[in-house]
Amino acid sequence: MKQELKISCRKECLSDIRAFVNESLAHLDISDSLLYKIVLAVDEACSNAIIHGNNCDESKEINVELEVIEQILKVKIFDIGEYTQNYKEVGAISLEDHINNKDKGGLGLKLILSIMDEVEFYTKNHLNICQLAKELA
Amino acid sequence: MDKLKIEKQVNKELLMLKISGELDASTAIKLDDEINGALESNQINILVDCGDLNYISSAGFGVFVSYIKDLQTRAGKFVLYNLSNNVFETFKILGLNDLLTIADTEKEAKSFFDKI
Repeated sequence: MKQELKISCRKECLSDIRAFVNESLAHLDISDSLLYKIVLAVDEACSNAIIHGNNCDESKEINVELEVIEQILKVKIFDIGEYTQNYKEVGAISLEDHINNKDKGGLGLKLILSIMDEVEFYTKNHLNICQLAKELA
Repeated sequence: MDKLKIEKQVNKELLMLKISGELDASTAIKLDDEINGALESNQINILVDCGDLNYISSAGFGVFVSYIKDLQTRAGKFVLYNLSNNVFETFKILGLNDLLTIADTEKEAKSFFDKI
């Protein structure tokens, strides 16, 4: 069954998103470690949408959908923000460059790409969609 | 209620921070302010007790990453200890376990500062 959450673009809502993912997946027979990593990946994708896509505009919302089909978790995050950076370029920045540039941001994409099996960002009918998938078996 | 609590103690040249709760994009600024203030006060040897840190996201990692170079330049360092398995696993995903000193216990963590 698909689980959905619609929530305001506020950084303070990230803990509610984590609670939603934890509660939605609690019934699954997966390790605590895997659940933690999935929660982290969804948190990072939502942080990206809230902060970089929507500039923490509280009047806007993001939608988070979770669904498990044949042992594969599918996550979709929808928003209508504007993105200026290419996720593949940001994810490709080396840790050494982050350290040398004293960057505080950009590590979230590395985590998402490391944790999830499939990561895709696209736009359809003016809606930004971040689509993630993870095999649970 | 604060999602992130930071307790601070200064012992000679050593700044000890105990961070509790959730370190995410909404709370990382609190840790950033604390570390930035420490460096401005020339406190460059920083011991971080993560025993009650339940969660860390990239915003939290970003705080540590952004100060690694400054600390190296000034011959200081972070030593983190008492990490939960989940938190430590996330450090490993990013390769930060090779760049930051991570200890199991307070005693081991303090031993990295024995020469100061």
